Amino acid sequence: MSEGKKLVSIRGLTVSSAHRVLIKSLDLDIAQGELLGIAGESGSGKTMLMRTLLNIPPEDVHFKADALQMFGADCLHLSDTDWRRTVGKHIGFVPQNTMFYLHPMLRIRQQIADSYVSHRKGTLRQGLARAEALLREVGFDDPERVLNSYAWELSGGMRQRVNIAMALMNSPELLIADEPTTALDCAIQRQIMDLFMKISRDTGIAVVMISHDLGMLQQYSRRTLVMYAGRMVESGSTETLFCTPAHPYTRALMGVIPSLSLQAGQRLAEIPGYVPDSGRETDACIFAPRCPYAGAECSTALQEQDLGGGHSCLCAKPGIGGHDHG
Amino acid sequence: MLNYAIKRINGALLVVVAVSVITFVMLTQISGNAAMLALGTDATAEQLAQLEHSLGLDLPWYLQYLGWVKNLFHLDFGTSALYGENVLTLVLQRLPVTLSLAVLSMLMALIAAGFLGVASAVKKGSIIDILSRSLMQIGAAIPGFWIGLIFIIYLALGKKWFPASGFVAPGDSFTGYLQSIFLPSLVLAIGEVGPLLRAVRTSMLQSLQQDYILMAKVQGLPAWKIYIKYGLRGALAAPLNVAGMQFAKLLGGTTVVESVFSLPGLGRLVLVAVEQRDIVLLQGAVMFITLAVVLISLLADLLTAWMNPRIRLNEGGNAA
Repeated sequence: MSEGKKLVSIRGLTVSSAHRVLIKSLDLDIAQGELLGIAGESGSGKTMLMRTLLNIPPEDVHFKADALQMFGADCLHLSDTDWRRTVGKHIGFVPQNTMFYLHPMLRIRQQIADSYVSHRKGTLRQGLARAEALLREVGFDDPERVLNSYAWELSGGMRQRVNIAMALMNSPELLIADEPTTALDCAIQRQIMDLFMKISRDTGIAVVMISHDLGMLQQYSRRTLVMYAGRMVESGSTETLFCTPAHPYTRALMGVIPSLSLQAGQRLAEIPGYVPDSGRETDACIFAPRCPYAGAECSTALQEQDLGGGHSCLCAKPGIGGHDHG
Repeated sequence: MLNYAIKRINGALLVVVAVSVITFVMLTQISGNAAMLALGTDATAEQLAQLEHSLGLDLPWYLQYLGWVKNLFHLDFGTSALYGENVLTLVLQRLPVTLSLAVLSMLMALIAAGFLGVASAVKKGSIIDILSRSLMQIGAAIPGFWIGLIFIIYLALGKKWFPASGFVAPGDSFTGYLQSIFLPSLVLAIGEVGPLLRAVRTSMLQSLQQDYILMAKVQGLPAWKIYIKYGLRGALAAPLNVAGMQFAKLLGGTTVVESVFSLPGLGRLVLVAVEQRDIVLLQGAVMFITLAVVLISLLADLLTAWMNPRIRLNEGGNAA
């Protein structure tokens, strides 16, 4: 756990839809100013976690938690409206898909300052002035033109920068970015990530990056959490986690990062099997069916193993399979 | 947008031409002979032939049609045999009544459908949603003349809140005018609200599924901003189009209500023309209504397109 004030603190979060458990007893702390990466395959529950935190659950999805606090508010006892106001005031959200998060029938200037005005930070005129300054900050030379554009008149990279500027309107303490670079090409990905780093450096804002791209997280996050099938299987400082991954799943995930030294005709590595949709309520290891090292102890109730230095892992045999990565 | 507009205008012109041919041919060929109707059964064959010749009825139908169309271009819709007046004058006299009914009933239907449609989409499955869906069924199921009669019996004759029949010109008494068109407009609105409500609810539900709604929620915006500024703004196209079609339909479709409430509107004029076999009047009135319907649907389509900035700004945008 990094030092600093906790912005968000979640204990024992379980999210379920009508028939299935999606996330099981998950603990999460987000500290002031930290760069946190959340990694996992599709279906691992990272987006569901984010949507629960922001109180925008999909229809028919419910959650239980022992504690869910953010910015001094106890969200378990807040109305939906108050919770969202807390979110809107303190958290900037940068979405994955850049196309549809901006209203296609409104110009950027007609929507970018809405939260600023709604949270009584100032008048619309002040909001637009701030938007202009922020757009300049995220790299637009001609913010006036961007303000007068519709979302679909901008390229993907431009839209994402507009989204980032919009997320920063209320000077949030936390930025949550859900797969922020997925739809963008490599050069733009890099620009966007560098922008996040610059914002974090300049303002001390905490940034949570949710991604399936381990290479990106290794490069940009300080602390990394690995999610699998709705639970946190390993967490630790990015350096420790990537040098000495303790969970077989984390290691398998690192094994599938395509390397530039890959020979022509060589098959890309893969993890056999797939992320289970059902049966996530079990107390036993959920990765065991895909794990090459699974044994009898893996089918009993698991306890989180503290490996020291903030490194912890949800595995009966942490570190098994050697420390040959890094 | 310009390309789209030109395309739609061409389409509208085609409709006008087609409808004018069909009405003309149907009315001149099927209903027999205008000269016969004018002269009655006692006329000799000679008199008949003479009048037919002077009316141009002995010409082939396409020449008659071209002559009629030529006159239309000079805004000459012909002279009514029944009233002995220019058809256009007669139509323009009746138009304010029908237009008042159409506008007021459309306003009522739009307000009710807008409010109930948004509310039932936002609170799907709630009491208000169930009520709205019942209203759609009821509006579609109950015939207008029956509701009209019920209103007359209870609200006009019973409570005496409204006149039971007749039209008061707004120049004479504005309150009287509103009172005289309120009940008939309400009857029309009950019929119109169903499809409109369905359109608002459906496209609102669709709009609420969009990512921009999530974004608005995450920003902690107040409910009215989420649902009206973002939700409804993305859901306007389909309901507006429905409203435009309904409004156009109303111009020719108020006959029953005008009859029930004895209002001197376009519908009654057409009805009288049919009853009295006033072919010239019927042709002229139907043509006028056709032109109005086509023009209004065209305007509704262009407005819908214009409201979507993607079509408005993209030259040659093809989306409808």
